[in-house]
Amino acid sequence: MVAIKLYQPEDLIKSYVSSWHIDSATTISALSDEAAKDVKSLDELLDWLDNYLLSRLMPIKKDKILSDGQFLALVKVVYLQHELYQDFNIFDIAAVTEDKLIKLQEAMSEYKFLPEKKVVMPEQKIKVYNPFSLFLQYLKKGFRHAFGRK
Amino acid sequence: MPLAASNEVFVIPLLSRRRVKFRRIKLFGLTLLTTFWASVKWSEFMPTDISLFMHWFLLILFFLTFGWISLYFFSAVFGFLELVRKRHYEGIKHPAKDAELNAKTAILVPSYNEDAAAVMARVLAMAEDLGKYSEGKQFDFFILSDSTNPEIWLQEEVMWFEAKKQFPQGINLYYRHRPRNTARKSGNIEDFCTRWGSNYKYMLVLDADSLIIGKTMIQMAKLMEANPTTGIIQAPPQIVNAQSFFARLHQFSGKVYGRIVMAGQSYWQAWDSNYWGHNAIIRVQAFIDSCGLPVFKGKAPFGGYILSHDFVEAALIRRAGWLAWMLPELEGSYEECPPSMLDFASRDRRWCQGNLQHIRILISRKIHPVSRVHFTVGIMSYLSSLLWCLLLLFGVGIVVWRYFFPPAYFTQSKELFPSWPIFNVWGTIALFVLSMVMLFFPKILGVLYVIGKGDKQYGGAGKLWQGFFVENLFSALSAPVMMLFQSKFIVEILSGMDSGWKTQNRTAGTSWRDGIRMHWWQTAVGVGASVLIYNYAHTLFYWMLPITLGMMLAIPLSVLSSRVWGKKSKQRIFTIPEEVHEPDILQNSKRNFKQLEQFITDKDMLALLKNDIYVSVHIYLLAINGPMPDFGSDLIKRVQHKVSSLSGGGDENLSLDEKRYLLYDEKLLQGYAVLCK
Repeated sequence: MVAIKLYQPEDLIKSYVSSWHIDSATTISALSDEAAKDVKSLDELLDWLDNYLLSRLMPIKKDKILSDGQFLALVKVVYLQHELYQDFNIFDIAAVTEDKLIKLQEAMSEYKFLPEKKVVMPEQKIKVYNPFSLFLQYLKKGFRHAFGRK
Repeated sequence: MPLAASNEVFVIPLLSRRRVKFRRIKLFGLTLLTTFWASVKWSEFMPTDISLFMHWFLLILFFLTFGWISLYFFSAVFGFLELVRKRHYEGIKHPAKDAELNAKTAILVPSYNEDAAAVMARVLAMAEDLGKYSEGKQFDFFILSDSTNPEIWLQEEVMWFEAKKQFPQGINLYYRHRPRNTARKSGNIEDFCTRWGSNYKYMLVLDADSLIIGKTMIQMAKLMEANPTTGIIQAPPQIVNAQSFFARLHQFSGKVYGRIVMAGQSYWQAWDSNYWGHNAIIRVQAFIDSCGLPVFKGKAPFGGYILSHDFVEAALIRRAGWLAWMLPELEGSYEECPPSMLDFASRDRRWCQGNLQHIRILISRKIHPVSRVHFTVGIMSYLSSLLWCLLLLFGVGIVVWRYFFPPAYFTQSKELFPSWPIFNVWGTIALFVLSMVMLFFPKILGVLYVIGKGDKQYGGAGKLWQGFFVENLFSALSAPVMMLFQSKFIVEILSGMDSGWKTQNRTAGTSWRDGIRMHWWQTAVGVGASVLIYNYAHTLFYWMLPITLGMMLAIPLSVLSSRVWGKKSKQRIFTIPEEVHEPDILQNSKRNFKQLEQFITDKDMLALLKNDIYVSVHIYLLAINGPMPDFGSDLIKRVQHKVSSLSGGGDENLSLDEKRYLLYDEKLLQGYAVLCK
């Protein structure tokens, strides 16, 4: 069983960094049975990812946000965790520079869940009255309202 | 910060305080006058040979139960008059037609072990509807899961992933699963508010079975924008998608009579309206500042977390000076109804406990008087059953007592005149008839209003009256059954039994086995009471028959009414316009359900874990959910041992708790997922 990394953005980056030491035979996983059947080349793989998966789960506009190299790196990082797909030796991991990695990190931060804005909900006090005093209070209010000065 | 710290700051140009006060004086004045008058009459009509204690006891019971009917009657009558006058709901400022919407609204969908495909199908249908409008981009959806069943949890994530692909551009769909469902739904909403709430100006709180059309959601947000002092706007939900006889009956009565009741409530409550926990838009900052619910001292059922949080939140937001509106004119707000009497009763058990818990808040400081009325109404909706039950019990008891202990006509020796016990039978019958009129008249008004509007989509006037008679017949027979259920619930709650938190059944019917298991005691009470009355209080036998018959027929009533009767047609009984011309959003929700359900045809966790993408989606989402709950070292070791000893193909021999832990342990899960293949 191949060591499986995570999809969470921070962990993905970490897993990517650690994957630099993975030998060049390390390739992307079999994404799913469907992908394994349909994908025959890198282009197909990218299209498949873009159209079928990434565009939905993480809607990346690769032509706008990421260069092809970054996109490739992202794809690799995201799917590194799966079982190796031995027939594909398509990613040149070393080609992704530190600079691209930072950009990648920035880009990926967009796919986080909505940023939290932590606030505290102050606990409200609900003090129970003595029913008799409550009755008297309403009575008093009623009298004031009826006979008090306007 | 709230815009106003006290009620006095508000100036509502469209509806003066004096007018609202006058409305309330009219409604409660008439209610009290009628109740006092009827109580005096009842006091006169009661048997003269009962003890003073019994006299007052019965009088108080009568006063409370009659007062309850009376309030319902007058509220409905005023509601009917409002509808006939076609008045626009006054007080709230309506935005201009071309008003822009720039504020963000979060649509919250709390879910607790619900059918994941059905929930997501509804969410997708709402998003699609919102997507038709440019303002739709101001809305984001949050699925706030409190599901404890790991299989449903995983299904929800799969549904989120699949539905997200089809979501309209610009509308986000987020999913969060809460590891610990502290404080149930109120805790779920609070968790959202404290983590993401400040990103939004408004939140539209839904239930798992809620549906609101996009136009109405936008209108609600615009209304909030136009009324900066408003904290809550409630869109009364209408029951739809009913299939069983029971649910369709409630759907019909909600549609035909409901609008009169709503209009009546809106008439006197104005800006002091209530919040029903769903299908309402809330100002997030107002909610954060004023609705942090306390935990009551003591154990459940009266202590602990507040169960029916909605009424309390409405009272707290009102206490903080914000206004709360209920606007029946907001159409396209839907919900579903429990399919059977047993499911209805199961929901009632929770609500009953929640409402009785309100007794503490009812008499707490600084609560607005109208909020106190809301609490009282909620409490009385359950307590009235027990009061009615006691009234019947003591009424029959007096007659049975007289059988065994005949009245002593001469209590002293050598008494010249006998002391006749007097009981005004005809007077009592007149009061009974009056009560029935007050109960049924609002329903008649409902039917007349629909006929008057000339709406043909109910199947015509004949079908409407037919529906009215069948509904009343069923209500009359089932009311004693529900009375016994609710009385039992109150006794259970008072003796300290907690309701727990069960998932609501929304589709399945009742089997004969369940019917017998749950209703045998009501049947036994009905048979026992009939035998007792026939033998020892024979004069009451036929008067009590509608009540005892309902109890005796509890099992078939419950089972048969949970079934689907008759084919879909425009001419069948209980037809409502939404069945004749099904709104787009309902059609789309059904279509989405069929489509989404395909992804989880095999609902088993094992089957879903075979899909790498779903495993990855789950792991991706784990980071959002928060820390894992404490499972205990024994359970963890047990799961680790079970998974490590698997030889392949997965294993179903994991309990729900073990599966739940597995979903939190990423490494173990990944290993398990590989072995599942």
